[in-house]
Amino acid sequence: MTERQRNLGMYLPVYAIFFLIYVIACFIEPSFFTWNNNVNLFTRITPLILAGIAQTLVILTGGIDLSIGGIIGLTNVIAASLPWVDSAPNIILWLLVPPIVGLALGLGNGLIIAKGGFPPLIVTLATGAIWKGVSLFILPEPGGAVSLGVARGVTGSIFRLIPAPLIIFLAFVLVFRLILRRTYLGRSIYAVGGNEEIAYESGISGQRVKIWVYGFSGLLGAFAGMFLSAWMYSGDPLVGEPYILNSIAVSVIAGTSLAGGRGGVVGIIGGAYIFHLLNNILNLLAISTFYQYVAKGLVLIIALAITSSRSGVNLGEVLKRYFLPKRYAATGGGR
Amino acid sequence: MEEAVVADIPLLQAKDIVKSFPGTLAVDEVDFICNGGEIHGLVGENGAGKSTLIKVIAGVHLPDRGTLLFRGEQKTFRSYADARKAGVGVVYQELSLMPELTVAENISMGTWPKTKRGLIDWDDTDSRCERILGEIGVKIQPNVLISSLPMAQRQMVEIAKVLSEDPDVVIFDEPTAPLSKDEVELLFSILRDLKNGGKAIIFISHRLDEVLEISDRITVMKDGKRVVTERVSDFNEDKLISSMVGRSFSEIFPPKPPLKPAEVIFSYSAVLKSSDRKVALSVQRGEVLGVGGLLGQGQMELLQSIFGLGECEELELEVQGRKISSRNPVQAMKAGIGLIPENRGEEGVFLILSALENLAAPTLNRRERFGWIRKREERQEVSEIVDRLAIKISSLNQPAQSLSGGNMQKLVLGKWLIFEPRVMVMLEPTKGVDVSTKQQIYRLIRDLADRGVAVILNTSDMLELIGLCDRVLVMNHGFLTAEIQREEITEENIMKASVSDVDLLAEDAI
Repeated sequence: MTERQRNLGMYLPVYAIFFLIYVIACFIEPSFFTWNNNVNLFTRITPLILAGIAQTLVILTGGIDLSIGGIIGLTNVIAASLPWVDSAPNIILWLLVPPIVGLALGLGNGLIIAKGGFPPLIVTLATGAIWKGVSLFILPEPGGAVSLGVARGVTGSIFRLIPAPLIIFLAFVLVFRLILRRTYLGRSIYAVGGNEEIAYESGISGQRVKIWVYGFSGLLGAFAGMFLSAWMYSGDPLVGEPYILNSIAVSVIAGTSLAGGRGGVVGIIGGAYIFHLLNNILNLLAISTFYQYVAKGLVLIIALAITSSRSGVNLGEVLKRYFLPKRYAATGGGR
Repeated sequence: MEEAVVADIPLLQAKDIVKSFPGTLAVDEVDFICNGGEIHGLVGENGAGKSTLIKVIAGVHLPDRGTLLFRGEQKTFRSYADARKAGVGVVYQELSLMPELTVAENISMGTWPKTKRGLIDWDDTDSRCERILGEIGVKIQPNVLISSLPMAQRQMVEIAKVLSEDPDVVIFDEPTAPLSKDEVELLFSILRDLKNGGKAIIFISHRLDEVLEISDRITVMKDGKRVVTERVSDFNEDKLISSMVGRSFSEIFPPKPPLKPAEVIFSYSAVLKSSDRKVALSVQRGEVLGVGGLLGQGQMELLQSIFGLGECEELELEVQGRKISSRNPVQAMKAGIGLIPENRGEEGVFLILSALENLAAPTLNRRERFGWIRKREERQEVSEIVDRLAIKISSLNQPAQSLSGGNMQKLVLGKWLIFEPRVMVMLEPTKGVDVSTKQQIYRLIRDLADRGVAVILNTSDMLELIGLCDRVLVMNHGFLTAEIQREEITEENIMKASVSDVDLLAEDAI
């Protein structure tokens, strides 16, 4: 099996499910397959993709980042609370301050987790709560403002043709795929997630890798927060909350193992689409919100079962495992 | 009398067993008989099909063809639970104990006696545990946590757990690997008791002397087939090995090259935590230094501290005349020190990562510029090692977990060969590896030394100390008690140094 085939096996299920749901959506509502709606979708999924990449990086090392919601919220609020709106200094501040804050917050997480040896689940739960509090302190209610130029630049189209969000999320996924596959840091992330002890004995410092990974997660959270501020022309201290669990769900649907060491960012676009299309379809069908939750949960579990199964693409194997009598299943594997 | 036993219906009979996995025929038409009151040794290289045969008997694998007969009655096991019910017990190499539960809780796992109210009857649990441990002659408190026991005692608990279900057929899969000589003797006396109690015992081990000592009959497997089954009196070690691999014993170790002029390139001294005594050693260019002794005398602590693992005080290291500090592996590696940890096979490699990612791990930073890895160079270096070690992989991207144990160990060796260390520390590099892989590893070690590397080797295999090492240090209770030069490396000398001083030390303590 070549590397390409292995990756294909990993990503095929996500995009197959995405395609299936997309086609279903087009049948239910013909207007779904319009350019406008698709541009709208690009915008909607971009922050989720950014948060998904952030979460994937952390999960690959065997950790988890529950503070991503707090970071998105805080940077979003900061981005919408900068002075001198609609002038060049505001735009410069908008470009500089949130990423620095996000990176700093993330590195803070990483330092506490790596140097203190505390469990990431609790550390990020705690820091996320703190940052949510700070966001509410800065901007108790949704409000604030961003420069119009920023909003147009981020959510508009380039040359009136290519939607900027599409470029943004494609660029991020591509860059982080390169980082994961081609750089020292990327390889170290897989090594530490694969087995931290062996990594240590091979001269790879798990501490340093973790600090950087949480730093990147904070930075990406900031980008998501900035994007949301540009999209909404304003800030909302609680805007990040849904991204906590959704980013985890998207990472896992995209094929990343919660145990670490296995997965990647290429499936995230498909994962984010699956998430949003589900909402869309259920809304289009005018299904009550209560049922929507149930349906969403069920579809997510099925998507998870298919995309995160060890063999990856082999749907037949999955069906066999769950629907054939046990004795046939028991003979598989082993040496 | 033996005739009478054989004439009876055998307790366990496997007929024409065939079991294949995708790509391999693991067991190929094997007949296997084990009588009550017999210890049947099962030997063969890794991948010869022993484990698969055992798993078929224990219900873990359903055979493709063939039948299993118990006391002449045909049985089909769909799971290990089925086999257990029919009276098959397996003591696996990897222990199945819960470390944070007590001995008694582990032994009666799943079969806890209940009180009238439906709660677990702890008094009964403890007394039952004491009885079972007493029967096999082991003194362990029932209320001790497994995690606080040394490996050897855990093994005894594991055995007690299996025996608590009173199986008729007991399979021991490499039970002696973590045991010292005394403990092996204890295990053997347990095995003999079981045998006298009429049980059928299958004993798997890589230590051939033990197989020869304890077995009544021996079956040799090779490439999934049964090569031969004979009474133990028809075997000796040479014959066993040659039927396993088709080579004779004397060819196993590479010849030691003539002594070169002494040039010390590595020296070490430190105060070990366990003994609180200063230990010092030095190694010459191209020398293979063995560190031996009984199990658990501080060898691991000493060798790991060279690589910056574990704690010790006043650590002083010199590599090629330069003082270096080695408080963690990164520093040690900067000085050109490599370490092959004791964790072999599945515990020694990144299971879910590819062969390439495994092999490239220690040398990643040599092939990076501004954080980017030079992939072509990496592929080239890694492929060279794969060819040199004859690692069997279908592509460099094959995940390590799909490789055999021997090939996993080669990944561990290979990554340090790419590293090109000046000093190579190895902990039990051949533990649990089959004979032909062992041979390859011996040749590699000698090859490393010939290239001028100082090799420091810890092994519990006496033959390796004798056959492979240029000089042997013997450790005893955290002290280096003897230095044995090349000509004097004999089993007697090593044993003397390992054992005799224990009494002396004990007298000192009084």
